[in-house]
Amino acid sequence: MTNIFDLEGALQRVEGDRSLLCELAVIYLDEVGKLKLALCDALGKNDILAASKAAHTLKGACANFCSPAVYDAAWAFEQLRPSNTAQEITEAYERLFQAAERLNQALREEFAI
Amino acid sequence: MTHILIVDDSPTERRRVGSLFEKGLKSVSISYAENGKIAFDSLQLVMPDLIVTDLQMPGMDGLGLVEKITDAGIGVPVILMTSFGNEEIALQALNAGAASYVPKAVLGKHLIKTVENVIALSQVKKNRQRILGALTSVQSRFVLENDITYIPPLISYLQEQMATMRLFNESQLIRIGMALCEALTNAIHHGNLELDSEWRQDSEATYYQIAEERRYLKPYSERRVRMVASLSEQEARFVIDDEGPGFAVDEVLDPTDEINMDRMGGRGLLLIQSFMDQVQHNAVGNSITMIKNVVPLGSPNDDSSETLEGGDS
Repeated sequence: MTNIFDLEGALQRVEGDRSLLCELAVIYLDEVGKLKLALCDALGKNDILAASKAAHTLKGACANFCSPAVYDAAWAFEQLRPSNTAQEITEAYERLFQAAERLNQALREEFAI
Repeated sequence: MTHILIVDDSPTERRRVGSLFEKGLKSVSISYAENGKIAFDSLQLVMPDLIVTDLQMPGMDGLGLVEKITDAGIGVPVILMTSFGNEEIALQALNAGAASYVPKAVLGKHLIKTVENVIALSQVKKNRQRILGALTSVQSRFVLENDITYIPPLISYLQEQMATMRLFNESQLIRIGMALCEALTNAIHHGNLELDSEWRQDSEATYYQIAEERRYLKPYSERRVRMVASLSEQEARFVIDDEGPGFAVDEVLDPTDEINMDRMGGRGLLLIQSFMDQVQHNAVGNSITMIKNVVPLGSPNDDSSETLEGGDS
């Protein structure tokens, strides 16, 4: 399995400051949990646009860890509109949060969080 | 110390952008807001030197924030952080008043330089405002051709000067502008071009047609309007001279007489007399001096709460 995130790339984005990257990872792990709740809440209300906005925020946050799998899944979810089918929405949701969970796990291991 | 307000709904992004400033700027204090509304409300308490904002946020977004700041006349520069897909909103925000933008993907490379440039420009503007705020008197002289399109930009220029010197409030500036507009129009139309206001009473179109013809006919075309605007902490004095034959000042219809109120010819003088504190003509009738006294804002004589319908004097 390929790495879920590019540590070197992520370090380059913070000029090699590993402690800052670790700090960002801590904040991100907290944020991603909240965004998942917000996204689920929006889906529960059938509010695809609100769910899409949560995915947009997640896309921005995960970009700090150079994780194309999460970024691309967030981008795909962000494109969903009310006209998409329930199955399409469910698939996009599962793709996003499976990738997000892998990134969470990798960050916890890398930074011993 | 430079104070920067970072606006982004993502705490991860806020921290990352904050860290860029901590590392890239020498002396900086940073505050954070998670959407445009919180950011705008915070401006009531502390005014940052610069705002850096995300565009897409729940609640008030970056475009809304820029619009509110522009509408409120707040001079703080705003830099947008854009991401793929929101270029159109970014363009709207730039049109609405944002100072610049940096794509999120290249924040690390370009944000600090952009911020430094914007702050440097903003500092020049602030210093200019500071030094102009210390100006206590200024005299400007203008020589105008008989073209009434010169009037609005000239008045706007003078209003800006008076506003910078904090001589009058917004409503007073509008009234002074109205009086100047009438006096300058009189000098061009009735003074230099010798148009009779009674012609206007008969037909506006004919009146303006003759005005246009005379602009290019001698002797009218050779005449100029001269204006001296003297602004000080005590008063704003405007002297407007034309090179026409003048008029019998004593024979002018009393514009405050209700018989003459609906005549266009008397309206200009009525407005001038209502909006200025002193109005004088020379004996020949081709020079008008108008004075508006400066009343410190908040003093018992401050008429800042008056409406346009009310007179100044």
